[in-house]
Amino acid sequence: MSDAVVLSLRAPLAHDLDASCVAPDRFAALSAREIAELPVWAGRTAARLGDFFDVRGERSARVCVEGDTERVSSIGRGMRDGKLDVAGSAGRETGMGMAGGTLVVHGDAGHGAGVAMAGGVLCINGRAGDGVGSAPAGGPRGMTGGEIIVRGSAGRDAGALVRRGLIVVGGDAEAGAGRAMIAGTIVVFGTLGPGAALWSKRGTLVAMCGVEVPPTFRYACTYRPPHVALLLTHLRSCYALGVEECHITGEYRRYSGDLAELGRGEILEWIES
Amino acid sequence: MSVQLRGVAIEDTFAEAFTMRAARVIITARNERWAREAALSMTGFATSVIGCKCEAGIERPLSAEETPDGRAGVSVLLFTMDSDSLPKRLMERLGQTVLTCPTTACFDGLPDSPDRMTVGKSLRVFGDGFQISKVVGGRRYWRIPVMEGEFLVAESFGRQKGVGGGNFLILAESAGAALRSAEAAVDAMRGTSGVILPFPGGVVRSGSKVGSKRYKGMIATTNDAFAPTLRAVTDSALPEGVNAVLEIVLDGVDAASIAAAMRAGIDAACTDGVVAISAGNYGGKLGPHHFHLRQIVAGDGAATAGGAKGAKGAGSPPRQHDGAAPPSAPHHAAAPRSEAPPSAGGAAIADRGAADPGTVP
Repeated sequence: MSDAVVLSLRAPLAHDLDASCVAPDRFAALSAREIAELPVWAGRTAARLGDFFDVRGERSARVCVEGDTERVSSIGRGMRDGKLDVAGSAGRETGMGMAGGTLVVHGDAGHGAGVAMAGGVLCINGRAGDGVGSAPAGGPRGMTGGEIIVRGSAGRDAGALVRRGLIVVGGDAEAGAGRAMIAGTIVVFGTLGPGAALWSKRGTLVAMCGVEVPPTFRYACTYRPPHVALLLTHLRSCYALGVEECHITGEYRRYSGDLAELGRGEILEWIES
Repeated sequence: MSVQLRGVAIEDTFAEAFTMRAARVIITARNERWAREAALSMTGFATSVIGCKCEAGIERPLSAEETPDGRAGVSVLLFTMDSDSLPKRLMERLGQTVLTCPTTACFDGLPDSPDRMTVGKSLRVFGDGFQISKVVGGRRYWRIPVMEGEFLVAESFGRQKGVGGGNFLILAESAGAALRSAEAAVDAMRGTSGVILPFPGGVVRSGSKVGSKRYKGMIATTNDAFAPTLRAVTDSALPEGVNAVLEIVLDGVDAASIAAAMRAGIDAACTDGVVAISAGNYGGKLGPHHFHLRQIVAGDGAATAGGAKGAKGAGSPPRQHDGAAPPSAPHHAAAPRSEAPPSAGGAAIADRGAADPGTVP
């Protein structure tokens, strides 16, 4: 048993590589040889993980993926436990369906990161592509648990159809953030594109830098939501996010909606005092 | 062998304490004033399980850095004699005193305890269907809409075993000397982590014995052995020169916390005019936790597991006078029912009529 399993990409990839097999809880019971034998897809071609990666270490639930992995997709798919670090950027659908453990992408993550996630923590230190934490194509609901922390910006439809869980975007979020939310919480520290929280049933969208409130939301009041203070304190202590004190102690405009839907959702817009 | 601390005799006796059930509640508010107001209300009329159904007190104030939501807070400990009544008491008190208090939020102070009480889950129905749940850091909270905004409360609170009834007695030459000594002791003990002093100002003047010599229904009456006015007419336990006695009673989350607080308190209590430090017990037959004063003072005073074999009452309050118990059995204050008819005595002050935990506060 090693302290960690390290996967080093030998050379930049010419095609997308589906590496769904890379999950720390699976590696915890495998030898280095067995890990190298795990199946991957290079485009339409079946291959082995060892064809692309050097494998160091074995039988560990702590995994580090090194190299230019921007075209490696589905890293950490369905992982349930352990710690997975991607030293650079990751491709599409990183952490898709993960149910536990911690996955940290130190660079950017492609489209569909954390799609259908059910638990655990997904930290993206760079930018996230479209549909972070949202539903798989044609699926009825997005993430159902866990926490996604994007320190950079996020693409379109961040948290669309979220059912439960938390998504935090440190930068801007493009159009459609929280679209058709079923429940859960989304916090965006940067600007929000149009259509935020549109058609949401329940759930909370916290906007720190203004929001274009859909016409189907109705203003309720200006107050200090206690759960936002709790949430931001949690983010500061657990993820070392640079949450400003004025956001914790500040006041928020509450808009209820979407009144064209169930109407039990809310947009909380921080206002500068 | 005589043991003295700065001229004050430390009697060769022990405090006898009981196993209780404890909860720790963290109350936060916009500022210290309102956190404290809520805590004071929540811990009001909670001096003794004999008449108040629970014992509660402020453990210590909390800085903004110590609370879950980064606001000023207060830590409160609440104790009951049995597991079932603890959530009922929490429901009543949180619903009537913390939910009602401006700007407060309420968090679980025992988050690691596997034994959970779904107090917030019951309180949520006050929201009449408008309540919203949020999961933060893996724990569920309820947002209950109120006229001021929202009341945030943890869905569940931890429950653990605690120790109730740690005590020591200050035997002094005068009431003034006893009060000065008690004040010094309380000042030294307040803020000790894991301990509360549930009585007014932390001090009891009406120590009680189990049962009654005259009224059949009374479960606790004045501790005549330590009442100076009765020295001439009762089997007094008071040394010569003692004209006033005050008791410090403390509950804690564990025996070690109580021992540490007693050590600090006894040390501070040994002031001018104090003749001796004693303690209340039932002969070691009822409570499983024994805090021997001389061991406490010597610094090795962890509670000894009770020598009381077959102490079935370990987890229950004393119900009847034990004829074998020594005359000195001071413990929690008696309910003031000096002329109550015997038939009504015990029942009237017994723990009964607990509220339905599902009741809307």
